[in-house]
Amino acid sequence: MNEEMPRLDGNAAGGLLSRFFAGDATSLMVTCNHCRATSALGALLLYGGRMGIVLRCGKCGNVNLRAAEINGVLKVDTKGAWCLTVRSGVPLPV
Amino acid sequence: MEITVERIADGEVSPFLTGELRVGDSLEIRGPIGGYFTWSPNTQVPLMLIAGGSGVVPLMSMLRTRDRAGSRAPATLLYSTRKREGIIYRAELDRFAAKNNGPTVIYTLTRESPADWQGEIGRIDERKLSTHAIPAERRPVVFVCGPTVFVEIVAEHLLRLGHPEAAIKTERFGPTGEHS
Repeated sequence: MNEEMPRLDGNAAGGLLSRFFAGDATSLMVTCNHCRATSALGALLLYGGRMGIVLRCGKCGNVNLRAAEINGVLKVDTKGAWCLTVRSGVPLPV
Repeated sequence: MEITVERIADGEVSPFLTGELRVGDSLEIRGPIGGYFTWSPNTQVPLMLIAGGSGVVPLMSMLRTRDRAGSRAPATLLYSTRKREGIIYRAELDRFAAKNNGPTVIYTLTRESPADWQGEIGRIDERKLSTHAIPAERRPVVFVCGPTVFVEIVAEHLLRLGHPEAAIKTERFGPTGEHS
């Protein structure tokens, strides 16, 4: 087998992203910045390995989120997502 | 170690695993990957499991862990399949359910209604969840696993029934690139 990591699905990012998001990160709805398709984070396509992960839109392949550990700091880049949404009845702290 | 595979006719991997793989073939296994959709038996917090089709597989692993550990944490499995013959692990689940401190196991069928069927009929809806699921007041941890649409619908019902978002863990699957 080659060294390349096979493609996984976004479920596999749940543990890592729980460092950033309260609740279940795989249930976050992600809207693609390129094609505007919306799907649960857990249903995105996950590529990556020890260096970091990339979550791509299942429809157009655009990178929606990236996460990597750099110099002991974990960084998440969400520039490829138009928006992130959660369905919950929690009122905004106005 | 055991793997359970549901054959999806136009799937990417399952036709190979169910049709081509032979006894004696080598497999390379990676993992565990994810580390989020997991349950530890060192708790008395009630355990609510909700499965759609082969989504029962990771939940079965939790029920086996619970059984081996002799856990007395209350547990309920609500398991939806299309047909009775499609119920995976039926005998083992019924054996667990018959034990002292065993889990409550409720099946529901969505594509048939056999005359001698004792379980539920129809998709998991709010009524089935209020009847069978551990209520929000008992503060269970809830694991939902199944096809993407199934998980979204069940999670919405759970939120409406008062389960806090933080108590609901999900794992979903579907054809690659599918969007609902």
